[in-house]
Amino acid sequence: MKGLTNSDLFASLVEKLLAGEIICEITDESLYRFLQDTVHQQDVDGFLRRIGRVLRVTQDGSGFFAAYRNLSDSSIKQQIKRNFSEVINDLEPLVRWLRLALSAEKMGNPLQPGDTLRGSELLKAIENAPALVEELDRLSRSKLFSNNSTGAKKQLDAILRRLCENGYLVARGSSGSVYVATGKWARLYELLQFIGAHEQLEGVEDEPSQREFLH
Amino acid sequence: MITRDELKRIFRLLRKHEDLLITAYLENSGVVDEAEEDIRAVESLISSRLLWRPDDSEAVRLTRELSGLFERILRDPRRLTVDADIGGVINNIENNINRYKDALRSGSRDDVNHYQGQVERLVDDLRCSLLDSSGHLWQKINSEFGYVTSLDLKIKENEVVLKQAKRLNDSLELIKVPEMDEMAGSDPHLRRYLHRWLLASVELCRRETVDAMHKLNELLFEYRKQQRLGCLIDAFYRRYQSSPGYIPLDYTEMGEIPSVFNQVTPVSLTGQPDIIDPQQELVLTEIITGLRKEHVAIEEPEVLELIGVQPVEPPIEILLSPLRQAVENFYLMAVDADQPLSAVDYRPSDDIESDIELWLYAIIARYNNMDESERILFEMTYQESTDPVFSGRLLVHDVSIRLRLDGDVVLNTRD
Repeated sequence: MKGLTNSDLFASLVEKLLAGEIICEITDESLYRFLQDTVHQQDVDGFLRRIGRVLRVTQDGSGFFAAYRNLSDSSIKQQIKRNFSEVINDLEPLVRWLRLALSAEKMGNPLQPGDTLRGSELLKAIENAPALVEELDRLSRSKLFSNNSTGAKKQLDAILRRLCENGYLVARGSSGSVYVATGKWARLYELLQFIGAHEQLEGVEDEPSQREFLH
Repeated sequence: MITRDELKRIFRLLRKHEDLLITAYLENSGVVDEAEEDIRAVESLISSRLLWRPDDSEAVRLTRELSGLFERILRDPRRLTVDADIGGVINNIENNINRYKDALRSGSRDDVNHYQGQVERLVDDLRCSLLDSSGHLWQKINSEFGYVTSLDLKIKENEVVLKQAKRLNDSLELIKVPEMDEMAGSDPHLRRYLHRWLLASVELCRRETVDAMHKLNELLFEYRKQQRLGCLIDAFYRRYQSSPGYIPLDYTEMGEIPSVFNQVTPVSLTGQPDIIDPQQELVLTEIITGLRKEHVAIEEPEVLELIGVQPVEPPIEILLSPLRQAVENFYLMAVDADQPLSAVDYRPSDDIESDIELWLYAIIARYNNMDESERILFEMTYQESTDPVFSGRLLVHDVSIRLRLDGDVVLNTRD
């Protein structure tokens, strides 16, 4: 992205936001940095407002995305409903994956935007725990991570690839086994937080979810 | 009096049993695994007060003095504690200063020297202790509590260190500039100890402690956030385990959709190429070059049967299309003319070909398709100009044809 003008960055940013992408430091560093400037934030937000959208940022500040300005329109409601059902269908495999990664990580830190995930270390930890191997196999049969691979290594590779395709991870380095978590996890956690608090899941506290610009 | 030999003996003992001592310190929290060690070595270290046995039923361990020495010199973040008993030390300094002043009044030189030495030692100890204390806080922070592995323990460690930092910061309040001024008076020795040594260290320690508290709060916030996320993931995992097929409520069915679910659905933004913009021509050319992959079928000419032709029959007249006929006529005119003929001047009527461009193409194509023996008879000249945007592109406005005269050089020329 070196050498791009502000006008190029603006155009690229708006296109990505309207395509439903979450702009974070990992996926688009130059666009994310562009949005760190409040003048640019206001510019982008102002443009989006003119076409019925607004700029929003995740609560932890790791990702920017576009939302609808007014939800009263029935066609917009339908689109959000469609979005919601897609997310809900993927929720269980994503939660199981997070739990698997959490169990394999000796420090017990949940995956957060910017965290590095090493495939080889994860595989080693999984292979040392039969319960995790079983969980990996179960995940490989879910719709989201569906793959016909056998053996922990191939199954894990397939799952990591799918997470990359869906924008949750970005592969780094030439070896192909180092990944970095994107701002999409922050959005997922916001949804989990809301649902968990409203369905009174044990151990989930209530908390606000996200910030909006310019009111 | 401690002798040089006694000190040398201790160093020799430390050197001789270094593996035993290192293993106990690093791997067994100071406890010696007697089953693994030579009993005589252990006894020798006990008698030198480097090891001790709290009770017959308990294991031998490093003495507090020895492990304290390692902790202090190596700044081991696992063991460091913050000494915050500053009030007691200040009282002690104050008492010694009072006795020093009494000795000065009574003119007892030896007593003055003794109490001056006491004050100097106490102030130096306090100064070192303060700097060590803030240093210890940062040792722990920089290690990010890496000496414990679980998040819960990191939070607990962080809370403990944060309390120590607060206590240290509160204790620093006990050392007040006016009181130090009053105690030192105009005595140059006391001013040196209390001002230059102590107050400068207090200020440095205060800055480092406040920064440490800020950093500890930041770390604590991050650890708690991670802990909350861990609980959140666990809560959903347990729900999916206990209620297979669990699906959350449809929140989009609510009267007002919660804003957390508000994110745009992807819109595909596309545009058409602007083919009449000359500035895009190069890019568009690059894009379309090679796009057509299929090969154009070349029709093989049919093998015709030989037909017997009677020589008496008149030759078959092949009818040409009006355009081809017009081209032929143009070339015939060029043969008769004694000067170059302009294709534009001799363009056919609109009912034969209304597009001047196609007419020019037809003239050029006819020239190019001639046999070498035929083409050598004609000379074709382009009238052209350079494109205003692309300097390498030439725009043809007209072509002229003339019959080549004997002795002409055979080549096409451009104006």
